[in-house]
Amino acid sequence: MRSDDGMITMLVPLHGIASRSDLPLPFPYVVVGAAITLAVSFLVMLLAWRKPLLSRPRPHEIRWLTRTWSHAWVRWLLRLLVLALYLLVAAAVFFGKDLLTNPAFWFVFSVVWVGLVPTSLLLGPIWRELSPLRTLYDLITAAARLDGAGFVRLPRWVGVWPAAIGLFGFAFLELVQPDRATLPVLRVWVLAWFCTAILGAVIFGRRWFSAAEPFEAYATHVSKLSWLGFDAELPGARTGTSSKRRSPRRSPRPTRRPGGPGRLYAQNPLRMLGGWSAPRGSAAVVCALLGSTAFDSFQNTSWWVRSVAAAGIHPTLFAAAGLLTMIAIVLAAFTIACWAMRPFVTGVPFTDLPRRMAPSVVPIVIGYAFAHYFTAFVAQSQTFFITISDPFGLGWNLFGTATLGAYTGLYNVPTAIAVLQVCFILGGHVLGIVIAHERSLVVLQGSTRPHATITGQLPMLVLMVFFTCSGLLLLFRP
Amino acid sequence: MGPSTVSFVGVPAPRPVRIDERQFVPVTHPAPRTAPPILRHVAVAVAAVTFVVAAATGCSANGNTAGSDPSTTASAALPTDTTPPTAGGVSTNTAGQVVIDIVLRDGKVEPNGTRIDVQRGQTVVLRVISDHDDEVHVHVDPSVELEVKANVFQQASFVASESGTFEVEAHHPQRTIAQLNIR
Repeated sequence: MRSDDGMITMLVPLHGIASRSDLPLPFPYVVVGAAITLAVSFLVMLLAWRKPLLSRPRPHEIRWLTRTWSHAWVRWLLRLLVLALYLLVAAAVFFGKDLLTNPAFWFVFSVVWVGLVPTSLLLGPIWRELSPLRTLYDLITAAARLDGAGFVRLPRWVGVWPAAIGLFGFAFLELVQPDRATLPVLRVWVLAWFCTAILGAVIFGRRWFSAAEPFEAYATHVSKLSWLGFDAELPGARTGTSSKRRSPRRSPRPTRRPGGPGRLYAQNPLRMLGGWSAPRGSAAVVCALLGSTAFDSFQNTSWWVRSVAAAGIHPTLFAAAGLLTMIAIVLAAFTIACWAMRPFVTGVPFTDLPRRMAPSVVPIVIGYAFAHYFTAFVAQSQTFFITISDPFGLGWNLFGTATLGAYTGLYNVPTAIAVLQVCFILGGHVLGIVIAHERSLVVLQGSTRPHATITGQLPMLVLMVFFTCSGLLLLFRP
Repeated sequence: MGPSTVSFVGVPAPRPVRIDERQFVPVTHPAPRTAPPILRHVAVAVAAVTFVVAAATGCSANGNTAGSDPSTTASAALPTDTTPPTAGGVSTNTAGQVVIDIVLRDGKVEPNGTRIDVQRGQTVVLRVISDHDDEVHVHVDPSVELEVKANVFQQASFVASESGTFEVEAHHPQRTIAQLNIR
């Protein structure tokens, strides 16, 4: 791609579009972090509550939000605004200039990929509600008088497996794809994403978006740790929120169409994640996310840099194999931990166990994502807001931001950055341990082995300590 | 204590406990209310030891080198020595500049992915000799790009103004020469 003065610069970003990465963590931070990790994990396992505390929903409805959301014009206004933004960026992709000032690169690699984490934490499942793909699909089905159920019904065992594959695809684009900061490559990927989503939705109906759209799956998993929830009716309304079940369910829960009316409620995020029944394939989704963030960091280690040069095969192939291996390692570790839990578990078949325990890895994924990307996100999202004023590189100033400069002062306090990174990773670990404890209690109840609630948790605890300490070590960049 | 019938949202009720035919009494173990005493003591001991180790390491480790004063007027003047380097390497010259000797030969780069610590405000000098046409690119802001012709000694310098890790790389083939850790 060319720089502004016409000189050819073959910018090869380290990851996504970043040319700079954070300094390696000082080693004492790694040691202190690992020590705190171990201490907290054992304390929670041995001294925390013994009966599941967080699996019962206890929502508090936010009436004025529900009322506002029930107006169709409010929903459609927000959805159309988001669709307009995406269409503007799409126009920049297909008709803009192949320069770093094209907002599309900043949008895809920073605003969407990294930004969806804080958005989903703060605003719950807003990604799904305002998804431009869903908006487009609703417009198409309304115009064509279809009902949105598609021709083929997706079976339940599909779950979110297609989204896990989609997340691997995005990780490939972000970390491995050569020339990813050039428009021709980005156009191909954007078209592939769009066509898979829309064609799949035409065939399989609206369920395809929640099953196969990678960003929506990522956002939904993260939003389970949010304080805000959307649902057709408040969770626990049928069975009651008390600990005794009064009567068996009489009719199935109504499913809610995202983008449609629903009830908004506030809830303790731990309770939201602790009681969540994850879809099939959730374990693959969280492992793909964790593996890709870990590989991003791993690419900066000196071992990798030397191996890429020394390997006989093409660096792209080598990097793709590395990404796949990293995701496979994370998935294998998770499966082994579930396998080790198996003797203590009754009433839950082994094939269902990863799905049950997958939500405990979600806080670790969030912690990793924040630790790796928050500095880049702060600067690159500013760049997006500046460049979106001139999407085609013609000297426009649509939103008045084209002449501003990104503030990168955050980069120049490396000690603060290092401390924040450790805090994010440790915070993710602590929440992950709490949720793992809760879910283990649910899964281990009814076991006839003595002390099953303690020894049965050990594999998960070891797994989480392994993830967290590896994360700290990767930030240290040996 | 009979078999538990408590279930939780999204969790199927556990299978009923097996009845032992010899006793006609359900065989269950009551759920322990707390961890056995020995494990609790072990937990507290582990926690105490790890906190002590962490505190000791944290206290004994020297603090990070404080960020240097970036307002030092760093001299970006190129060194006067124009003999091409024979091998890759890093050194600091008498003017306080970090000098990186880069040799691109037979499709290999020297140095090959080394890490170089630089203070913010220091000048970094690149001295490059290559056996083929290439570009040496430093990913700082503003970007530093050095077009190298075959067998012609080139040098360039820039001031490290922003903290972070930046790569120095060659383009033909795509190789990382060094990683600059600017503190």
